[in-house]
Amino acid sequence: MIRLAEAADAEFIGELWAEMVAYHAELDAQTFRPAEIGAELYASGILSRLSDADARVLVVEINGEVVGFVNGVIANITTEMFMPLRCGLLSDIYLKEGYRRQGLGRQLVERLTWWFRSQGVRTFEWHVSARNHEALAFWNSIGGETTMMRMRAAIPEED
Amino acid sequence: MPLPFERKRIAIADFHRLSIHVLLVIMRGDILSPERGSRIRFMKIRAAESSDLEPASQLWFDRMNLLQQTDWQIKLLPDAKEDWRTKASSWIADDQVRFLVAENNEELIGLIAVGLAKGMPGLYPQRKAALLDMAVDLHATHRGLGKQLLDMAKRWLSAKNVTELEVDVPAHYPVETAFWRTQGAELRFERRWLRI
Repeated sequence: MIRLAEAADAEFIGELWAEMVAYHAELDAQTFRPAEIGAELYASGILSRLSDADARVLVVEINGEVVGFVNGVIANITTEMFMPLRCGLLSDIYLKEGYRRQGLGRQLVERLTWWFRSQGVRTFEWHVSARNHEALAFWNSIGGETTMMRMRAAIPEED
Repeated sequence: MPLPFERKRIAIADFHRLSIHVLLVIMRGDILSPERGSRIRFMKIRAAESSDLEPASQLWFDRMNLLQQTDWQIKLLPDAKEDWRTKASSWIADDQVRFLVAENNEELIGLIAVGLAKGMPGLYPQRKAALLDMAVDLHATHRGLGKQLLDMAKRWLSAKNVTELEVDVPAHYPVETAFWRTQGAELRFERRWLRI
């Protein structure tokens, strides 16, 4: 069952986030380095989103257990020099291992995009790790186009 | 005979039509005329001042004009240059931002602004650096100008104990992607969009 997240889910979503980061850390350890209280910080962020009219957090609950979530928000993504563009942003999406490849991820995305549409938003954006081939394949099946590439350059230590 | 302003526009249009290969060669500085080689000796990179904002905003505008042709999401407002100057003027006094310009024969030929920012919630590093803006004069290429600007900015970031610089590179503008790759930048994320 896909439903709106509630305050009682925040801790479990924090744990799922920690799993998601650990999964990504295996692919890209330099980018995904969780802080010690990373899961708590994320759970706290989820709690504040529950009362935000421009945010929506959905969870997948199976047999009483929260096994996945999606976290989205609506924002103007342009700076002051550009025409304002109100856009949906999919911040995070994750499903526990064992619940993937069953169409649940697609359903989460669809439910979130229905909400975006209901708010008058006609485009949405997301970031996908360039090293997460499973996620790239998932997003390729959903569709969309790459607009920007986030790159990182190392800064050498001062002599 | 086109006016100087028109010549610049024509040059930018021609620049855009050149093949990627040729652009990359120019970026690497492989085509180096004696005149350009001699002019580069006078280049100076320094902290930006208020009097730089007008010419700097033209460099920014020229770059955005090109990007606008490759990405429908980029739509400049009529007062975009003025808005950019307002934003850039705040960088000059901001101790969390390093805003540098390059000048050659008293003409502004490049700019870079990098800023310190909070990292992603729950992840290290909790303080990171991001590229706020970078632009170089498109109709007068200068060997290694982009690299020199970047190196100066990196020195400042290094003194602030920042280890990584995050850069959002337009996906449909291979010249900039190539530049960042030659500077050792690695792709970490793709930003995608979907019409719904």
